Amino acid sequence: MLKSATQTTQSPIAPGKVVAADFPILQTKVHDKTLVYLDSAATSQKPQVVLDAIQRYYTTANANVHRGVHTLGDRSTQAWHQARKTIATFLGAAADELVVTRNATEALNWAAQAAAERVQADDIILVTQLEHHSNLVPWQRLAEKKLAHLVVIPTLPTGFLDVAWLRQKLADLAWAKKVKVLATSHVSNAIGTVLPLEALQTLKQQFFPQAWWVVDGAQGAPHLAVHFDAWPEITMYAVSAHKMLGPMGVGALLVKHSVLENLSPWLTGGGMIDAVTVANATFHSDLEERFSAGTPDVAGLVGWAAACDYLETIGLTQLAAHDEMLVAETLERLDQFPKITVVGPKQTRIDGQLVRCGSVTFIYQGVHAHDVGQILDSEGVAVRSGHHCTMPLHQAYGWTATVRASFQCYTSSDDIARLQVGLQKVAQVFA
Amino acid sequence: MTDFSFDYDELLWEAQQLAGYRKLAHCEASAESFNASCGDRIVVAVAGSAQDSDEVGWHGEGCVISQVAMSRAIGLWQSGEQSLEVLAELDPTEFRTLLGFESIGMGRYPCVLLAQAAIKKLVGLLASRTPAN
Repeated sequence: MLKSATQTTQSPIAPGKVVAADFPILQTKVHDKTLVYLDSAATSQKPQVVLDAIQRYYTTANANVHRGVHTLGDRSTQAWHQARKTIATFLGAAADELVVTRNATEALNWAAQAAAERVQADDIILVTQLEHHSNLVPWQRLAEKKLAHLVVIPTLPTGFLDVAWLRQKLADLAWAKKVKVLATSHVSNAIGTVLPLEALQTLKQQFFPQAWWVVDGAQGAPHLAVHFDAWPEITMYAVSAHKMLGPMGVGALLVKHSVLENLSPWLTGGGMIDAVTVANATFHSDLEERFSAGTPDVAGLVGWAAACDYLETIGLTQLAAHDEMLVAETLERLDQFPKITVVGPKQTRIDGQLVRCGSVTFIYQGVHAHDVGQILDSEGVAVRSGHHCTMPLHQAYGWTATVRASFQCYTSSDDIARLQVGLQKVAQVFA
Repeated sequence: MTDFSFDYDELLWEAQQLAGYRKLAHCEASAESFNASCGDRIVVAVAGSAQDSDEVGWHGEGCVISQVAMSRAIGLWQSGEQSLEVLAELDPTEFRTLLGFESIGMGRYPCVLLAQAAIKKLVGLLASRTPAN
């Protein structure tokens, strides 16, 4: 029988250098220098336990699920259900609220398709200026198709969401009544802003309780505890496994039970049916089955569950504290470069509230982001350069392109020091 | 696996003396290529006959590679080694190699090819204005 993915017998491990030893790829050399991977927001690296879990599945339990009466079929089915439960529990949801997709992008696209039935002409779809294209373009298309209005909640120059602007708009109750969807991120992938979920929750409860709230959690889930069922106003929450130490190609949309049971499956075919004739089909009564058409990525789910267990072993509180330390240290080190301007919040906390996490994004005056990224690469430091799939945000602030350093549990202060050294080389080259 | 690298000092030196970099006061045709992903932009223009390399100018903004790539392409044209039409029609790999960028990483290909995109547009524009014989 496949080892239970929920067995966590290890003692807590300290994030940073200790954890980094668990990630084989971090021993890689780049241009003869040990890799410093500061692009975890694009995709995270994988610990050995995740790699082992996937290999163990394929070498001991691989078979299709719910399709045979043989032992391997049983093993695989058990592994699938257990993995779903582990992942859902990690995200504060029930297993039958987890609709597996390929990634958060697919999850958000499905959310928009599902919302089509409730959005009518002249209705309002609210998005924010911070959104990744995956949580913007699907809503643009829905608004266009349904002749609805796509309204963008702006950000302030500080990088915070302009909640006051929204509050003012909602004072017009007739306008508020037309809001059918609120689509926001949990954490901005571009500038690290932690969105004020509590404040938005209060506004939604008061002014537009009828709306669906779809949250892009791709950058939130890897760094912050997700309490899906404890957030009553959030209808759906999208995640990608590969950003939280899991494999690429698997993700999920968490959907509140009361909503999911009234939705039509967006994928139909094998596995999710109850009975099929030539003319007709009825769908499975069990939600987990109904929204699982075709052969699932069992190995991906097993790997993702192992990633969740690994993050639990570190401890989410410890993980968040480590991330906050890294962000603060990076802000401090970048402050020593007169030509560097950090974009987004300039601090991690305001009045005790976490306002920035996961990454630090900046502009190097007079040097294109690609050139900064290339020189950092020559020093073994991997960052992202470009618009980070947030063209509207970059256009609004006149940023041609920016450089983003992003962190995970394996990032250490030594890595931030190497980033500083790399930026000193940029300063020398472009002196 | 090969790690890609190149000499930034050399590129920076070239970036200080870009071949053909100027805005033409009067141009017969101009074409622009823009990379929305990073803001790199090249505008290339001709005045009078396209055969006269003195009448070619370009300007732009962006990363060192995109600007130097355009400079090298224009340099080949100015020296008579390559025509605009040939540069426009080269396979992207051949274009990169011809300009000496065979060793850059795949992530930088769009930077180099921005030059070809601008030249291709200009060639197309000039061709559409040539009266049929």
